[in-house]
Amino acid sequence: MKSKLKTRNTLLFLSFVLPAAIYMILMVIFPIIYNIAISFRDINLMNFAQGGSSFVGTEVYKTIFKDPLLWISMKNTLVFTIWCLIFQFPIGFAMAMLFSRHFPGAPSLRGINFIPWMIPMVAVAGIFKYMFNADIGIINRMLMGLHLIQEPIQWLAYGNTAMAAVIIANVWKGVPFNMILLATALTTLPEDIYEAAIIDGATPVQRFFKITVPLLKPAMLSVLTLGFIYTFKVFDLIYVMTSGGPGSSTEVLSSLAYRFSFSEYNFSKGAAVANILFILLMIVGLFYIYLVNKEDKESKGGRR
Amino acid sequence: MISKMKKKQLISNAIFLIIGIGVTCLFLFPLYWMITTSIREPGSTFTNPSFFPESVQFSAYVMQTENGVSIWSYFMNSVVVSLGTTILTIILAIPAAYAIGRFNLKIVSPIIFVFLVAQMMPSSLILTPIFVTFSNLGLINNHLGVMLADATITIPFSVIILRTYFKDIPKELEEAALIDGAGPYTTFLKIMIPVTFPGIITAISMSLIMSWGDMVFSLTLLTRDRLRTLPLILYKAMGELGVRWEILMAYATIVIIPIIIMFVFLQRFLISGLTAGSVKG
Repeated sequence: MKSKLKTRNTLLFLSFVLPAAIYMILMVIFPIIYNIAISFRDINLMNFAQGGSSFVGTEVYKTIFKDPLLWISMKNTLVFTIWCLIFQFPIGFAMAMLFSRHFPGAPSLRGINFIPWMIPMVAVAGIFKYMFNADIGIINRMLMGLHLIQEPIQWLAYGNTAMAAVIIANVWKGVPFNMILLATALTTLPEDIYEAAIIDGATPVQRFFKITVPLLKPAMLSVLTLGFIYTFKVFDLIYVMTSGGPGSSTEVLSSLAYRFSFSEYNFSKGAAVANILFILLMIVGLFYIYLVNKEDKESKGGRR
Repeated sequence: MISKMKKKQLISNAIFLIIGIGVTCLFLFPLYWMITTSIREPGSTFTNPSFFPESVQFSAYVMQTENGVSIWSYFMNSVVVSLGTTILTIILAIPAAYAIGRFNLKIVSPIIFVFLVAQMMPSSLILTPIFVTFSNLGLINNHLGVMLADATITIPFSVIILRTYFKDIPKELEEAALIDGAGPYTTFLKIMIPVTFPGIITAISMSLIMSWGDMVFSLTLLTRDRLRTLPLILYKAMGELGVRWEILMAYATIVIIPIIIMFVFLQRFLISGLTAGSVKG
């Protein structure tokens, strides 16, 4: 009787989940497996219509691991991600603190500052490419107006400044994400703790480090891991603003995978780089899933 | 005494409001600069542009692209692709999210795991296989192909958002409907979907925004100019028009207009979508 009910339940469950499951198998799981398979074969523009060459073992990986481009891209991806987090997290946090205060207009201002997060990456890249333009860009104009520089900086012509430019553009899009998630977490903090701390004579700095930071730790961890994941797989911004250049000074793993597959039409090399990117992402991703599960269990325990 | 405190409160409010407005103006300056550049006289971007545009003109908005096609026809391509993606997403994601949010089966956890991994997956991971398969299936230069590909981003995201909404429905509501003799599908359609309506609006708006902004899949799957979407045209124009910044910024503004409209009407849903999709998981 009980098992019959269970079977019925399972069938009902499947009838709801199956359409999406079939889609996911065809469009996500199968391509991931296919991508692994491609990286162990030799597929290029010449032979891909015929299904590519046969199994070549780890040849493709051996080739790309010897390629300095892979290591440069890996380093660039990491440098890009870490600098983005170093800037966007504190700025977002500061804005969250500011717009969580109860002054008139605070919710609207917080809302408006959310807009950059929604803007397509191509448009962000376009706007910042214009602002960083050496001759007519507003950034050089402002810096010269303030007498911080004498000569216009050729931002996108040199490795370090190009990297700085893409980081600044990405930070602009990333700040609202940090701000909104941290502001939401801030509103859940109990106010009576702060009132008690004020009565006990705690300074604002003490209250921040002794109350806000410890209580916000789960949200902060979640924002940082998700921020890492979203930033680490950056593609559009780099592709549009610098296309990995000058040289390969802003080449990241996503753009390298794209270059191999769709500029050099060496699909196997592109697939292999994408797989490496995915493995690196999953290391952080599994940590994030662990966080989510932990929170899931805690919220279940609280509710039922 | 009270009035003194009130006065202090008033001053502190005013100070924070001024700081808040200052921060907002500084942070959103790139948008101001984009819009004002787009309405400047052609060529005036070369000379030292003033902070406020001296004259206003909208010729960049009605310009045709290099191929003699109006920018608004690419706009329509983008509308078609993002609406199609969103419809596909909603049809598949709602029942799936309901199932994994409400059923207490062993198979649920691995399914959630797949959606979470898919949400974090870089598009470049599936780009090559999709390109190769779609080439063989004739889905290159087909908006349906882009919709199917864009949905690899929007479906996992929507399922994860909607699951939290379905999970929060009290059990009594479902049981009451079943006791009244409603079948499981009627309960789902007549009770569950209306109750999670805010969540569904959230998933729809997030899907629209994500598919509207996609460039990777259109870049790879659309090679015929007339089929291209707006973000792709903006990218191509940056190569072709290089220095005509007032036109490029007009294109960028056109890309952003629907986003601003959605923000005005759906702000609450978008913000809750971001938080539901990220922190709660």
